[in-house]
Amino acid sequence: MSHRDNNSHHKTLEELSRKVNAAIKAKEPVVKETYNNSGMGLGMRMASEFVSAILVGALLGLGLDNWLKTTPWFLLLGLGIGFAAGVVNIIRAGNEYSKNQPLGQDLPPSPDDEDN
Amino acid sequence: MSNDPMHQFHIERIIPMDLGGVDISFSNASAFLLLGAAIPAAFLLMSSAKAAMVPGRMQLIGESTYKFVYDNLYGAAGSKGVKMFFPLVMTLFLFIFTLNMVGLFAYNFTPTSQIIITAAMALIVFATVIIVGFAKNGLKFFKLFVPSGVPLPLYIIVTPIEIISFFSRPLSHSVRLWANIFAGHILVKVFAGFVPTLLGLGALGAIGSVLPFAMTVALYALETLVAFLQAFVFTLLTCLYLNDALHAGDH
Repeated sequence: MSHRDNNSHHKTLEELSRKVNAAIKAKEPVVKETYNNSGMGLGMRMASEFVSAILVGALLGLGLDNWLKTTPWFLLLGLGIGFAAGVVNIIRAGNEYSKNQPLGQDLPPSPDDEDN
Repeated sequence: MSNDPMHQFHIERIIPMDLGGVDISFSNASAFLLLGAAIPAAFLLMSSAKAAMVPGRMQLIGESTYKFVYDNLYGAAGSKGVKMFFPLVMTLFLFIFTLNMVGLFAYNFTPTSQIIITAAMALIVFATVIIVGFAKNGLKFFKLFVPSGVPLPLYIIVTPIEIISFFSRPLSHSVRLWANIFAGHILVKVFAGFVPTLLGLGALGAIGSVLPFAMTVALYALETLVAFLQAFVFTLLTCLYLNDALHAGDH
């Protein structure tokens, strides 16, 4: 009798722990979402990464032009390199973002994945 | 009250002061900056006053804040980064968060809506990265501009790109925080300004004014999120940049 009682105790405890774990799991991504998934924040970040690199490139070019009296060649070069640096910045920010984000959580399961 | 959405950004001298031709007046910006330093200090002092084994409410909030910043810094820069930079990062986070939140209340001034203040903070981080980077790595810090594993001729392109990318950091770092707060405050003010304008147009306007009012309420909720999020993003990027300072040589 007591043995059986013990067993049922175990069962209810196990069930409880399973429920608690499930509840914790259900809560977890919701907590993370408020930090990382704000679309506006991400968009702002990408935009400023891109624009600031171009601005800095243009400013460095203008400075060199003023100094060496070669207007407008370094400005053009600076704009080009700044554009490239902006793209590099965005790729880096994107890599960081996807590193913190388990892949494909926000997507429906795709039936055919070609590049596996 | 003024209906001008830019009015909230005006700096007014409270105690005019002058030091050798430089205007160092105590303005409303200075007052709120002081508040931004005083509130976190008071908060941390209060939450750590008892230091009980079983934390009370205040202590719990204080400890969670500590843990939140600690985890972010640890995740980005490891135990070495935490040892060196925790005071700086914690200060920045609490300072920016307090300024953003205090600025949400009516009649208050928001120092983070002035680009000079966010730029100063971003430059502090930038200078820290450079100083610590050279102190820790010596000349190997320049490896940041010369990533390994690139074919030799490509360095002609890659190095300028890396240099511009590096110098664009303080700009994007400061502009991001400033633009978010600045744009958000203008948006709230513009929608709030529609309400009295519509109310002045008679009965139909009064009914219509419900719409911008609802928008203002919704935007305020969004701005509260942005206030936290931008403080968080600023700190997170600070952590990432500081990590570069520590590990520039291993690239």
